[in-house]
Amino acid sequence: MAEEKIKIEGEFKGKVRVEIRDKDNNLVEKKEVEK
Amino acid sequence: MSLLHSALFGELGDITIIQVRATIPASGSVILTFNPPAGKIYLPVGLRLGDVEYDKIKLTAVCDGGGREGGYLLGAEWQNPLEPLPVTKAVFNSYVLILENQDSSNAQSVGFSVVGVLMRKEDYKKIFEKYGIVPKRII
Repeated sequence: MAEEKIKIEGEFKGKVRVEIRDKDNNLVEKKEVEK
Repeated sequence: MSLLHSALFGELGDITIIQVRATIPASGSVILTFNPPAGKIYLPVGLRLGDVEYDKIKLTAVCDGGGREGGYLLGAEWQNPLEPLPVTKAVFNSYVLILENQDSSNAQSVGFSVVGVLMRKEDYKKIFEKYGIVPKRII
């Protein structure tokens, strides 16, 4: 199984989005959670 | 009492924490965006960087909405992981943090958390007046 690049935790109520970008600003990985 | 301390004692609203762990490519970046639920405002008061090599990871921008280019820049070149975020003129509908990996050879795994308070929109005026916060834009 591939290693998970992004983990989002915590009790924040709302929308959280995390993006990973490479040196050229290209999107590598994105994860979004909404509670 | 500082804004951070007031928030941590729960005077301003419900304290909430966002915790993120991410692997940033060499010379890459991680961008965190968060929005409170409808009818509420989120006031971020602190950022804690954990498991970070501070000479390799740098917080380069703190914006409201739109990211590094589209948002209103609230603070950049922020280096001290223990100081409160520069929120005294902030807006809290959409908030963006950008961390860059300064290491051009290796990916870096970082863990960080944002501490903030969630408050009702109707309460924000009196709270902001009390603490001298000047909101730029509340949608």
